[in-house]
Amino acid sequence: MRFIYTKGFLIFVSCLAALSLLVIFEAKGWVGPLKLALLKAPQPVVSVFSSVARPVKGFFSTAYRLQRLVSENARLEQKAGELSRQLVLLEQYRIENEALKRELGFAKSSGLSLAPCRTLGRNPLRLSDTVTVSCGTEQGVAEGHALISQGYLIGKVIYAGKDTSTVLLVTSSRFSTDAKLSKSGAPGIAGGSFGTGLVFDRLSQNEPVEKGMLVVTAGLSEKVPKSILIGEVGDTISGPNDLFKKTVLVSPVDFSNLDFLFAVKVP
Amino acid sequence: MKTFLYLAAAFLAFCLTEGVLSFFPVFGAVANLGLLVTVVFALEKGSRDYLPAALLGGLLLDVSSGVHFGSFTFAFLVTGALVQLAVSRVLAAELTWRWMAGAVACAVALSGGLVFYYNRALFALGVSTLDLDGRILRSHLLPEIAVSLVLLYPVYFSVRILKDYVASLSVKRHAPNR
Repeated sequence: MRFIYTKGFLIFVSCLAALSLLVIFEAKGWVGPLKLALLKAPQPVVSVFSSVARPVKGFFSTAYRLQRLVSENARLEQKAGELSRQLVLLEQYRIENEALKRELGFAKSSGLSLAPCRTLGRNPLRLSDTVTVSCGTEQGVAEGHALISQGYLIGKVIYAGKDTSTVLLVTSSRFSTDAKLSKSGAPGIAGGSFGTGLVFDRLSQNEPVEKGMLVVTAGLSEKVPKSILIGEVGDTISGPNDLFKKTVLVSPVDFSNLDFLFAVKVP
Repeated sequence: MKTFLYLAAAFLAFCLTEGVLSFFPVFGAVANLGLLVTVVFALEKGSRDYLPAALLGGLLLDVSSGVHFGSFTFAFLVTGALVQLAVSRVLAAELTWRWMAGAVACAVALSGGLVFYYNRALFALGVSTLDLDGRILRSHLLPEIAVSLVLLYPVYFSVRILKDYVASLSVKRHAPNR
């Protein structure tokens, strides 16, 4: 009997037809509850497995990085001292600034409007540099909105469902956002790069850049507010003859281990 | 009962992938236990047992991976069907470990390609907002094949134990009353 006349083939085609229907329903936004159920159902078992796997991974990665951690600790202690001194100075500036604002009648800045989200899908196969989070249009999240973790930009929403959203991480080579150097305001583009992680590109060659300078969002996009921290400038990877300057950006966020995030809502 | 147990196997495979294997990537690649289970089920001549595993394993990966809905389900179904077709219609000799290793390597490459082109097609049609980077897929291919081959043995024996258990349940049910 030919394969296409077998019962197995008929069932296979029926499965494909059912899948096609699901894909059409998904485009119409009707499979939200099914997706949420599929995301939440494995969570209890996954968290049990993770609670065992995470410490094991932590132990081996700590042992591997022990040498580097010692020197990093010394460097961070030095930096912490320096930052404490800066903090005192900034506190003085803040008090001075508050007083000046009151004098000039400025309204108190409202800050960012944030929606707390939890990572539901951790993208186990790491094919797409995306994560699925537990907030959607019901929580006021829309496509293009930024997500932050530990105060750093981690990505933008590329698909917003009713209760879940898919976030494209800043490390993806498909990600880019307008950015600027916090110190000088020099504009550029921050984005992901295959093999490098995060980069700050399209910066003028004449612009002086030093390691450790902070890069923040420029606020040109309507959906991403300005001054969200993206990372610190690392090594310069462009040559002096290149049209633009390009540097590595260093973010302290562990993008493979995101748990709690905040979506920055823009009305 | 049989289908329920196979769905449970696919569910457990997904939980192990997300809860354990995703913490230990090899050159960035993580073994896809859902695909391995589907392929091992499909390696039995004339069996349709791969279908529940492909459906549930694919759907779970679809929602957690951020790719367009249906990517992994489509890839698992087609890969499982092709492995089943090859085993039933092409392979005349007895199934050996060498054949199984070849089937797994081909299945990993094929399913990766199917996921990529499925998403590419939907992105080109304007249905999906995610354009997958083919370089990630290429860089993951060889390590993923390697880790899948390492895990083939334990997965094959786990599936064998499950199938024997299902067969014993079936024998008990059909045994004549004394």
